[in-house]
Amino acid sequence: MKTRVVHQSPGQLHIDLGKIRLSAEEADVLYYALTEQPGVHKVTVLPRTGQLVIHFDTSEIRYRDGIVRFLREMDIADPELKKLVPGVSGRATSEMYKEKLGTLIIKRYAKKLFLPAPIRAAMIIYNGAPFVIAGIKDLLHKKFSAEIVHASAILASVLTSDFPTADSIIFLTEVGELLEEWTYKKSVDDLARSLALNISTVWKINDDEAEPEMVNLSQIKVGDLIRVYVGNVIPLDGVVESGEAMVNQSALTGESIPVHKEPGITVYAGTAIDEGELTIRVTEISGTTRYDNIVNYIEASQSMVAETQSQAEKLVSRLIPYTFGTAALTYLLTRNVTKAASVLMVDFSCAIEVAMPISVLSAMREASGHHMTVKGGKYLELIAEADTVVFDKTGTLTKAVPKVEQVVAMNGRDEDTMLALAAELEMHFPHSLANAVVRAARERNVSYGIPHSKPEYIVAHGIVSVAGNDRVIIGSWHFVFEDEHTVVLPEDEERLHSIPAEYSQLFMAINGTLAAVICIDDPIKAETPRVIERLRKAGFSNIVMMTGDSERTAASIAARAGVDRYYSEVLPEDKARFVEREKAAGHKVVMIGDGINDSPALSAADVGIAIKEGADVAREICDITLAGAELEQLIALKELSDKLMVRMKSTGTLGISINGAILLAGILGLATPGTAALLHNASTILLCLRNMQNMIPPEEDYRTL
Amino acid sequence: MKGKYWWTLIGGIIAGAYGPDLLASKAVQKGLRYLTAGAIIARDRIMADSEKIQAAASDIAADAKEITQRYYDRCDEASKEFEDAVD
Repeated sequence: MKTRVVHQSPGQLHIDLGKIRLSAEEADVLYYALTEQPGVHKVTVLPRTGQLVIHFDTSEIRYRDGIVRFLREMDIADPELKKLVPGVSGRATSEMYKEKLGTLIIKRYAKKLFLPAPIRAAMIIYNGAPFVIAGIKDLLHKKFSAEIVHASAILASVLTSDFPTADSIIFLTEVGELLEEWTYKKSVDDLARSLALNISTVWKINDDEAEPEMVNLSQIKVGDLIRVYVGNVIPLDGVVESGEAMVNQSALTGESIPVHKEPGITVYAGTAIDEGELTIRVTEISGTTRYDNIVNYIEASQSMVAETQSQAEKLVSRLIPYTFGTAALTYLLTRNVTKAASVLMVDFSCAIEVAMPISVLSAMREASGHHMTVKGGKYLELIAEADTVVFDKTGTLTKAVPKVEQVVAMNGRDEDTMLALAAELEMHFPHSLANAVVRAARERNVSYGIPHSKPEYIVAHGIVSVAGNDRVIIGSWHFVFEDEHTVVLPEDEERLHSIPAEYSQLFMAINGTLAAVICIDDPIKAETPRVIERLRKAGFSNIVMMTGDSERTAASIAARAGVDRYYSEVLPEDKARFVEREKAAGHKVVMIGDGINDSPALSAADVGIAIKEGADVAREICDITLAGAELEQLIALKELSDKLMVRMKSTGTLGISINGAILLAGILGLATPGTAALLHNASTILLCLRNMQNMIPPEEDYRTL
Repeated sequence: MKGKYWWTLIGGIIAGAYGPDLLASKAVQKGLRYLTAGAIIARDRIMADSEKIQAAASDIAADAKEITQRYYDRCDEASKEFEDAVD
């Protein structure tokens, strides 16, 4: 497409596309296609003038040239590019609200300039009527809300023939409401989009084979059979063909108690399997990711409202009768209707009702800019109060890519064969240790060949399967030796005990005899000690590590990480029980996990945080999701939460003090009702705008700790 | 004055009697359609101008940043020369 560079600055390109106007679809394609380009920081599309402003990274010349080349070569009608536009475009929503705001402002000044006074007065009465009616309704329901104060302010102005004041009150109230609606809608949209499904592959069962085949989600048609395993999300609507499972439907219905599913029962896209597995016949392949359901769920859940906010709102609604009392008192004392009216212009609850929700929503938006998804304002508040944080070791404190260092084969078995067998069984599980085994087998290019039965997963212990004629088990020391009473052949005893201690060990036994020990190195992340120290400084005084791993590995990692306490060989129930104990002792607990066996503890904690690469079940039931296993994000989260609390408090204080000053000015006659109304509404709007600012440094600053 | 009162009264009665019919008539409707369209176009032009200002402001801000960056670089160089000279 035609491009002309209007202006160049370091890191910024201002481009004219030669078109007079861009339609919404064209603007969307441009925006989303450009944001994907390498090196692009921010794209601003100006659809009414056909221009683009692009901010990009200056560290490499190829970024700028790449952007210009992409624009010159792109075809705006290309369907491939259209795919990049999400179902509900955030850009289009912002554009819509910008237009509404612009229309509101232009209408007001156009009316002032062009319409004669009587018609203006009539329009003001017409526009103000809804507010007055709303206020009267609240009064009749004995609900003392801010609407009553607004209504009385408008009514008082109109009755005293002070139409300009009534006009300005109506206008500024409408602007405030629009800003609030905009922020709310944007936050809900962003949240819903990040909660929507991000699945790309699924196990498909072809009729003639018993083994499922991993295919791309887009290749599934209605009537196909798919299999979903424990810990994974059901990607499409369907009817259960075979199998049995307990399914967590909280993403759809909000209930966290799992629902039993068996053949014949319908299952829904977006729900996760807690236990068991299902073979499902697909009934619907539409591209919808249950977006509207998620939006409804978010709006219905009370977690959007922080406790502080609802407390402040309750407090302020108690003050409203006093506002009327003050107005009446002023009239009695001064016999001046004007002064009494100016008291009504000042509404204390305004700032709190409008500016506080905006600050909460803005914090949630800022968190998503750090690639964290916060599912409700309540959770930010809880994090600010929290002093205890519980980590899972594997994948959180240690690198998410544990590596198989050694395979020690016993009983005369061959190393590679044992590794291949282990890999075949572990392939079904989303645990990072399992992934390491699969990866190692792929690297050594070995495969087992003999079919095996579907492995049965015993939570936090290990897996059991039948391969050919052999019963194979893989798991921890506790599982393999103490539970299953595996025998070690005398000639292997010495080798067993000489295995280095710092590796995580997976024991594999065939038909009751130890067959191999797979040594996995789970190195601690380099930044972990520093991050733990920063976390302690940020306010977490009680940092706990819990892992199902052996005592030796846990102890060495714990010492290097610098945690306050650690627990090894932990079972999932223990994790949950520990969380409950801490809560009973009065602590607020934050739990971070990624595996299936973390779900009880994640639900029990005050705030459950899941890592994005973890099991889908964990991500479904958690309260906050961190994209990427970056511990630094925790620091950002804590700082953001603390700053949010400070901001909410200052909103309350500023709201009351500024409005109190205006009230005083009104009573003393220093300000007319018109001025009071203007000051009150303008200060509220400025407070809202301030609350929309970012509170913590951008993401890059946290990554370079 | 009293005369004005009577004229206002008569004007109001006429407006009330014939006003609604007039407003609903085809001619007025057509006129209003074009008027509203014109208003919308005017609004879009105003918003387009505001976009132009937005783009220009963004350019100015970027250039200003560059100028200040060069200024600071020159200051740094100057102070380095000074340090070298002192040594």
